[in-house]
Amino acid sequence: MNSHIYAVLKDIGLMIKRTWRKRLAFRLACLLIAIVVVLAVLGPHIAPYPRQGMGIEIDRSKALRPPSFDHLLGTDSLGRDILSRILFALNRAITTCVIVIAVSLILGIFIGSYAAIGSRILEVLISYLIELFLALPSVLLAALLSILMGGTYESILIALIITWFPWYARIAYLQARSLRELDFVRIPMYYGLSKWYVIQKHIAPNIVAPMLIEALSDTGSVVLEISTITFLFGIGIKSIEEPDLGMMIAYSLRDITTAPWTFVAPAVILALIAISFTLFGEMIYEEYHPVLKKRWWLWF
Amino acid sequence: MLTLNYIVKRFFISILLILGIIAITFLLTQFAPGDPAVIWAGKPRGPGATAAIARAREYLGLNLPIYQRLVLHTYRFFTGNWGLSVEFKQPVFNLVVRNFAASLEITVYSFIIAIPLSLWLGTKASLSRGGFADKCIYFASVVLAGMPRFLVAALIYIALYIVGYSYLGLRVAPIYTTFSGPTGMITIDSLLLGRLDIFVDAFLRLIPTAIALSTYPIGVLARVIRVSLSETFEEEYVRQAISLGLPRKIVVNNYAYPSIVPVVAQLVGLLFSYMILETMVVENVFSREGLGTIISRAISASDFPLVIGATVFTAIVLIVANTLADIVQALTNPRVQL
Repeated sequence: MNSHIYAVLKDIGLMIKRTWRKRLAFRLACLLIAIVVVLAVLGPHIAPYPRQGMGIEIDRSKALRPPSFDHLLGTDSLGRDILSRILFALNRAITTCVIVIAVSLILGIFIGSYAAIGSRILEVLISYLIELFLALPSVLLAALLSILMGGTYESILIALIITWFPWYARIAYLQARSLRELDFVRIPMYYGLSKWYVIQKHIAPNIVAPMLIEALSDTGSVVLEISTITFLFGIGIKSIEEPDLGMMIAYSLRDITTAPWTFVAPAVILALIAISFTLFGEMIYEEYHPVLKKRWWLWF
Repeated sequence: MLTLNYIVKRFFISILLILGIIAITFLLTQFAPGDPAVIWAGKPRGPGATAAIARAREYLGLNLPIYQRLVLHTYRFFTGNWGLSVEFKQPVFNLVVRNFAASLEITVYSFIIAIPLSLWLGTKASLSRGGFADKCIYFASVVLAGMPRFLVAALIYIALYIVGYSYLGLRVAPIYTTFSGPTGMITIDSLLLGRLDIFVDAFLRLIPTAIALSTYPIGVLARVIRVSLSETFEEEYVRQAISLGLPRKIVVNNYAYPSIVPVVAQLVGLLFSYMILETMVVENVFSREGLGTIISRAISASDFPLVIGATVFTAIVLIVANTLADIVQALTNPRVQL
């Protein structure tokens, strides 16, 4: 198994390296992603006002101050430092989206490739279920689960996993179907090795590299989707003290005409995350696309 | 090739998917964790709670055998009896249809804005691929699609606030508050009933919302159209048309466009599912009535029947939209065979 992981990582490394050399936008996107991840990990430790960031402390005398040296991004309507709030919220946003992407990617790869090499009935059934889950809207599913589970944050996670894994399952199914007639899949099956073993050993390593790139570029959309759901309905938010990007934006909408910085700072951070992850995937796609790769002036 | 066979097949698949959605709601309502009747009654507290729970138990038929419950559930679904909303004390079906129509109106208008614009942008970009215009359009579309919709909506809101859109009557209460028509979409109803003043008012209020919402489909569609048009320009038949010396307009319109119609149709069908979330956001920022408002009230009141109804209705609309997209795809792309 180790050698397979090594090969997959090497594939991805090669893709990234080649794109890195050729595209400036890709370098920028990678840099932004790295900064965001570092900030998300270190955020709670480097926040200038950690107590305000966690929401334990409020200071109404300093409410709605514009950006200054004391408060780099200004303060919100309860006098809390917005930079500290964002640093605490980033941690949560990145953690949840990594969980969503990782779980749905693994589920998708295994379910999709099992459908491709399983029996005919299983194949039809799984394709049907994938279509069914794709038709469920994620917001409404999150709303349903939050009522059922008593409004916990996990309801958003589960709703997003249910609506994201069918995409990966569909891609994995299509790719595994093109592999299943090849010898290195058929011969182990004739030997009587179990299907899980064949998937792990022979199918997954061959389809995981492009899907991982796809998943990485979807990460931005997942961050956006989670914060949009909390922005709209506040699902999983126990109180307004909790740092969360969507919730911060929802509360700052009231002051948008008098204190636009309370709104703009978290929204721009979200936009940067989404755009840099999208660019990351798109640039690799462009670099490896046979037509888009070349610069071509139309002569007619 | 579009055949009757294909349409019938797609039709049956969509019927199966709708039945699957009904089965999911059946499982969710009948096997909810804890007591299903308590959840269906909206987790009531206070003096009337036991009576409300008993009524919910009666309604769900929890003492009946399971196959009878399933039949009852399916029968109620198809007769439009989706229960009574806890929060609004109205039939769920009417509530959901009315509010969904209001949301759908914005979505449709934003697609009406987005499709021609992104077609133009995508064509422009793919015709000068690698050039300056291409790069500008490409990065603009990435930024448009990647910006959170509340940022776009709020920017437009602030811009309108500063410019003073009030001259057009936006600061005054709408004149259509008591107006209602057969479809629930005010711009269509007012035209049907011949009320031009209401149409103008509703349209002016709708336009900023639709523009804010349309940035997402513009961003996604322009990029996809750019890629698929670039691929089409490499195809043999387009190259032959170019080498015959046909003017650019004819090559693009008659040779390249027909081959991207299926891609665009498919993508519009898929975009619908994400657009529901975006529509709710835009409605929230511009404080319009719609699906988002009733869902947020339903969540705070734990109004389970209403959320179930909204989920089912939306899922069915998505299935129908995707089926239509597939049929359009089959109409325009002779290679699709199922």
